[in-house]
Amino acid sequence: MTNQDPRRQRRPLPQRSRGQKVERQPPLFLVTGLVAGLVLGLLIAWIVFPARAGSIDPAELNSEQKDQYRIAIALAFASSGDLGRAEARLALLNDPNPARALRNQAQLQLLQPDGQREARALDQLADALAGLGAPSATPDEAAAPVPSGTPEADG
Amino acid sequence: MLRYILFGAAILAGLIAGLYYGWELSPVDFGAGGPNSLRADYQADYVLMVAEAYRSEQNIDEAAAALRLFPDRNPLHLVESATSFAVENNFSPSDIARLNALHSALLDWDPDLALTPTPDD
Repeated sequence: MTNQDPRRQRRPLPQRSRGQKVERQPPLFLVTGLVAGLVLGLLIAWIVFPARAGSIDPAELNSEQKDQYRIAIALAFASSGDLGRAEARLALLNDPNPARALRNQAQLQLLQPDGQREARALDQLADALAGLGAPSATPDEAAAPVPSGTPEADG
Repeated sequence: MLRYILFGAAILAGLIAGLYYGWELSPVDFGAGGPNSLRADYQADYVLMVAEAYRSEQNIDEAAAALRLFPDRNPLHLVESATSFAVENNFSPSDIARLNALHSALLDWDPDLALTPTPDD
């Protein structure tokens, strides 16, 4: 078993002059592993378990979604009577004239088959903004401060 | 053997980098501008508005309908998330109580019944 091809045994080692470095092959397996891990990580992060991105303001919703947001503000105001909180919430929608937006939406809401309740709430809030009165529903904690966690109308 | 260990370490490093990029630096934007992309505090505040209205109206069908602003989210999970956010961010006890009341009502709510008009209606 020791009889090998003499040409192989006598292959001369490459001679290095002083200061010359041995050329090594780049560790391709490391690059391959890194890329495979990266692709796997992105697949997990974007497709398998995607993170919920939450970054937009109510002002960036489309008009239909803003309408629904406005209704929620009005119904909450009809329940709590907290005008300060309602104003802060309306400011998030960046309406040039919130009271007018509420009145316009109330008119449109009246045309809906089941829109009476929402139209009434929108009108009440528009009245309150114009200083015409409080909601007919009993305000439960009208003087309650806006919670610290409630988004501020910082635009 | 060392080669395999280094290969595994490279995969792990790539995996961590991919997860960090995909979750933190460039997360998927669902619905591009839709309600699901609302910031967590606005989502919680919207759910709080629904809870405020529910408190006086006691109409869970209306409350559930209002929560459909987020079509991809289960209403119950949405309220749970909002309640967690409210607790972590020191909302007032009355607001947290309203969210809890809405959560309790949703636990007993049957969406199928909401689609069927009751005889009293």
